[in-house]
Amino acid sequence: MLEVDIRKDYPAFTLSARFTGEQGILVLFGPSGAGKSLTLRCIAGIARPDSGRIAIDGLDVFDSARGLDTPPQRRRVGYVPQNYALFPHLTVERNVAYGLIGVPGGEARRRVGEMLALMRLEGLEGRYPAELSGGQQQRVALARALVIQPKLLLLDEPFSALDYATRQELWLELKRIQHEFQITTVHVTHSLEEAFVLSDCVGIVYEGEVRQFGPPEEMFRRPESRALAYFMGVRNVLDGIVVSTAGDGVVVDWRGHQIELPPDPELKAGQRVIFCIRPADVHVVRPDRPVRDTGEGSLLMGIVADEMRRGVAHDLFVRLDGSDSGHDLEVSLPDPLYRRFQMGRNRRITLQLLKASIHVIKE
Amino acid sequence: METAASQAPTKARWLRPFSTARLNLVWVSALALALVLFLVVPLGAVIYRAASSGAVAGYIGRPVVVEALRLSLVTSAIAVALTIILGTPAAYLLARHRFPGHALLDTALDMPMVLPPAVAGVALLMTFGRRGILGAQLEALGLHVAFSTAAVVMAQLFVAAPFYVKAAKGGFEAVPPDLESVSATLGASGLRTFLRVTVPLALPALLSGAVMSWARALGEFGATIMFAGNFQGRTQTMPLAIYQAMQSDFRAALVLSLFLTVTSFVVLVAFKALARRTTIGSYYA
Repeated sequence: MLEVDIRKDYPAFTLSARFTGEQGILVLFGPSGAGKSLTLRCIAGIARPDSGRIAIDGLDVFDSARGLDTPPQRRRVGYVPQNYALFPHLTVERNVAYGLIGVPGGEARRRVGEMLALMRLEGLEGRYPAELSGGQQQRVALARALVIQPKLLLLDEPFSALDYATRQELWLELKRIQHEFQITTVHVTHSLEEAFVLSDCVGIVYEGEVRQFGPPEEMFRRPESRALAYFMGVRNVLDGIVVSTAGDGVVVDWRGHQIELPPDPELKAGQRVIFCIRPADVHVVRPDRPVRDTGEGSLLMGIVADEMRRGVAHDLFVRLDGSDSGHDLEVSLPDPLYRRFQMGRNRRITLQLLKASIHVIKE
Repeated sequence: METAASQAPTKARWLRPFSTARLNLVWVSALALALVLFLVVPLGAVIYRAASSGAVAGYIGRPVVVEALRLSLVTSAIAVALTIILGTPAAYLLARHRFPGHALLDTALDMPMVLPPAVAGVALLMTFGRRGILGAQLEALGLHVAFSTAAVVMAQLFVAAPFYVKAAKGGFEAVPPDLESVSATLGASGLRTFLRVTVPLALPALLSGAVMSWARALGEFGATIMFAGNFQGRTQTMPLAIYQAMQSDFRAALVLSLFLTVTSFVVLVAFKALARRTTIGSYYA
């Protein structure tokens, strides 16, 4: 359990973070320079906020109102900085044992041995960090942080320097460790995929502020600004004008198309509106079935103007009927469907924008 | 089809630069050799002339030689010890903290390195001498600092300490602060972090700084002769003894020079061997 409500001012930057983390992996997601690392350093006690409060497991470790600032030595926080910061002059074994200060020799050896086994580092005890692969270094850093039985685990972009295969392996590993230790983990990343894969809860950090906080499914579909939408991979950000608000939905005119939006009491006819939908949420109507209006969302017709292969899915850039050039919508289609219906360039395509998948941005 | 390049006569392999991005080896070697000869030949000359004079054995036991050698070793050892004790905190402070006057302090600590030793002698006299600004107070305490063995150590400390501080500061700066932060989160106190992480990683720099300052202390002449005088057995170190012998007994000067040359060489070799051992496995490979 972690409670953070802090503020730190610099001449050209202000960090203002306020969030609560329950058990599980809490991902702080945001672009470089947004203040993610600084937030972690404040929690670890290495950087000092100007004001606010930090509590770990219900115990205050920082409270500017009371002048409380527990030193990092007594916070019992496992901190893994971006470059792992392994002690280069110590072997793997001595790196992991480093934090077992005052623990009797036999007991320390047992705990280090257990941790090395758990992290699959057996046989590497005598190696120096420079003699390890990136993935091994990362596991040593995790072992060193976990062996002191911390109340909180702080990971600063731990996998960003690793190749994709190793990263995926460590994602699983981290999930496993998380499950085994039941430890609240704050994980900083700028990778959308990593945030999706790991998080039980996501905080979007942007320009020094934790802007949004909640379960990942919701966070990544409901960006609060155009810039955040772009950053989160919600690439269809559309500008329209409200035509009517009758009945159980809102109808918007967008590039000459009538788009149905979910009901929203704040929207009035004639008003400009920004709304967005993730490429993966745009529904492609199967060409082998008749087009039916199910009432779940507006139907749009066009052709595939361009495409891009992205591993397990294809990005289709769709030009809607009535447009002269370029593309209007981006659609992500899983590879099996793409191949089955041969949805390549110049194919006619019918799309449905499900009302439930559309989010209105209120800037 | 054969290219023009492959038909051109090829130079001997060792004469060619490794790649076109490198300097031409012939010119580089010639210039480097000139300097090496200029530095090594005079040292060889000392050894050669001392050895061929047949005087070495005769001078080894002479009080003037023994006392100068003993005084040099003792005073320079004390000066280096004081340099490490007082210079390490100064270097750490300069490397790890930014405070008002940081640049000024940094420059002030560099001053003795560029100052002529004679000026250092005057400066010490003006501070600790009988008419110095602290002279009256020291006199009242019964301390006569100038022209004592203590003055020799002070002169050496004054000129030699900056070499250590500069090297140690560089060494501390090169230790990634993240390592110290992580050490703190793992429960290590500031002192423990310093001794277990910072010092081991900065050790090559600390050792080389210590050796540089020792070498500077051992060779100290100008400040010593002005602040401590030239009294055999009390303030006459090796360089001072050589200076004095030059005016009376040239062979004594030659033998003393030989001792100093050999001593310095042995210490440097030992240090290099030690430094290689501490950097083994080159951490950041």
